[in-house]
Amino acid sequence: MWMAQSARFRPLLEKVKFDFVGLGFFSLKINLKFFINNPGFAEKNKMMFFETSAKNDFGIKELFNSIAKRIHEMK
Amino acid sequence: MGSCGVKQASTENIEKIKIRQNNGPENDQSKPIEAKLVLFGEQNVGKSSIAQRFCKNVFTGQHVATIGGAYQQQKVILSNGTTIKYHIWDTGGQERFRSMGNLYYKDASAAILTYDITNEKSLESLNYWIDELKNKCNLDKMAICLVGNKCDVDGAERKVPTAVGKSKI
Repeated sequence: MWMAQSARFRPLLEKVKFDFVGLGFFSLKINLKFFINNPGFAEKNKMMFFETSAKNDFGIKELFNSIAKRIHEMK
Repeated sequence: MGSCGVKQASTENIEKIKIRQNNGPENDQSKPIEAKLVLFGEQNVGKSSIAQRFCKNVFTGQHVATIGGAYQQQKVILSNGTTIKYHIWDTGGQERFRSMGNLYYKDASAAILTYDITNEKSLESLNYWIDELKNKCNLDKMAICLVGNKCDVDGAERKVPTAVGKSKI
């Protein structure tokens, strides 16, 4: 009786198991995506580094934009 | 007839209120984030030039020593529509102004530590500011950026390689 029931529910159990594995991968994918899209999150307390030239207007906008992003993340 | 007019007027009022709510001060996107930013570094590294290039898009090339500090404002709009309003404090680089540093970095959201890539000593002198900020500021609420300026110079004039500058962070 128990065996019969277990056989009957096996596909369902398999499906649930598959869903669990699927969910695990899905959450892992979300986590990876989060860290890839938010490099500032991983380096929250780290200093940023830039090389600029005020004379040639090189790297200035990038510098202030990056700081603005960091400030926005911290607020 | 009269009641219909009253109804119309009341619906108009409701619409006006709704519009006000949408454009009101509660709307975060329209309200800029105020951020105090401070520029530190030895004299003649280009702190004022960086501030001027960012705020006025000009470069004079003349060296005029900043006395005490200079103040400028500029806005940055992020890709998500958020506006950051910078209050930039450009500090004097001479050693005699170091004691005023705490007035500038107090309540600051960001600090730019500037050095001149043609002057090794200017990078070493940043140790003072790094220690000062680490000891006296809450780094969780402050963005700190190390900047090597004057990277337009020829390779032979460069005294601080990029890797050496990066090793400080």
